[in-house]
Amino acid sequence: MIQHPPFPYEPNESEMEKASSSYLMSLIAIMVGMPMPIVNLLATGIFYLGNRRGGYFTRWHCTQAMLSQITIFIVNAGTVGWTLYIFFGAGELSNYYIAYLITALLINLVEFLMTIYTAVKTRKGVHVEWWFWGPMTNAICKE
Amino acid sequence: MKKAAIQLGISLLLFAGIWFALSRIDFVGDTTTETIGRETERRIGDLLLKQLEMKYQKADNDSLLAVIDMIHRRICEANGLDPDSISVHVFDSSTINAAVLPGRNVIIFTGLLKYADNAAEFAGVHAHELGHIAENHVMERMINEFGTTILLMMSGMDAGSEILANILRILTTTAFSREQEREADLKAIEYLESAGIDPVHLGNFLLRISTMESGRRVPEWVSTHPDTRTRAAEIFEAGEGMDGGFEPLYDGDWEALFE
Repeated sequence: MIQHPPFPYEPNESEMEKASSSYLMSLIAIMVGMPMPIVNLLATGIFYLGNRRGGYFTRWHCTQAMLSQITIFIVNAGTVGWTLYIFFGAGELSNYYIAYLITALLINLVEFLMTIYTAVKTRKGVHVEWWFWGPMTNAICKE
Repeated sequence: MKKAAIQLGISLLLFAGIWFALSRIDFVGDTTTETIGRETERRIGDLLLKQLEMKYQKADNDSLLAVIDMIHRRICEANGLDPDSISVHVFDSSTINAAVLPGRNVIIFTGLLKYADNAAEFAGVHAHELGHIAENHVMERMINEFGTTILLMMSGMDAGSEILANILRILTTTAFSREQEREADLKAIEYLESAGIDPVHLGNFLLRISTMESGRRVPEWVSTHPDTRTRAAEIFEAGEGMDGGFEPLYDGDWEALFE
């Protein structure tokens, strides 16, 4: 789920701080992001745009944080949409809905724990690659 | 990128697996046919049909059956329903009634067909019964009234038992809830409009059946389908908002089909 491959260079203090902050962004926004998942994505997205010209270490982690938020956004948007459909549309409370809710909650919880862990590690300059998002980031973010 | 794609595939499978596994847990006391199973529903339907066949003769008027089949197919095909997945059974009886049995079975008595003024009125009633099937009202009602355990036990019974006879009586002589009737009406309006049949005919049928002369026996279909006047008014209202462009349903003489 989480790997620590070597990074091409030793990041400086400022890069470590910014990389760590990119993860903290999504944590700070999480309270608002629960009912409105777009907020998390926006927070990370804005931070990504602000740092796209930064050092490779910062850019890499901003990208990973943003990609993970896009995925979480899709999952949470599904939850919010389905809930609204039940409350205001023709949807009915079903086992599929509750199962989706629990699955989404589990994904959020795993992502939350991974985010805290990664924020701490990157602050110390340790490179952390996540399952799926790591290889995706490697493909997108070039040195 | 290949690594990311493989990991994405595994993640999606894991997501679907967890979701599916959790959905097997009965969180909401699910009372849908999924709990009972389609096969059990079909078995119960077959048993009730056998019970019905012991009491009534199946209609053998080929020209009438052909017209009913044509109407059934036109409504189903216009609405993306597989006409062969729903069985229509016509029984010879003066009873003015039509009902839905488990296992996607519609039963129609010739009494109701004769009472209809034209093919479009019958099409309205049929669309309404198809609405009950689409909304799964029969199994919802059976589970509410008898419970899942009884239904599962029932599927192993023999036709002719007292319990099956009682269930058949309940399904053919007692009413759905008002909410379910309204839902079936809405479906019927939708089905009829898509099939190019004016839903006003269903309204006419409902209105006429609700104003039957006092002293005459109230048709079974009225006792199983309450609030006919209000519902007729709602159907007329829905019909007013439609564009028209309805196509003729049956060119022949409807009444001659019963001679």
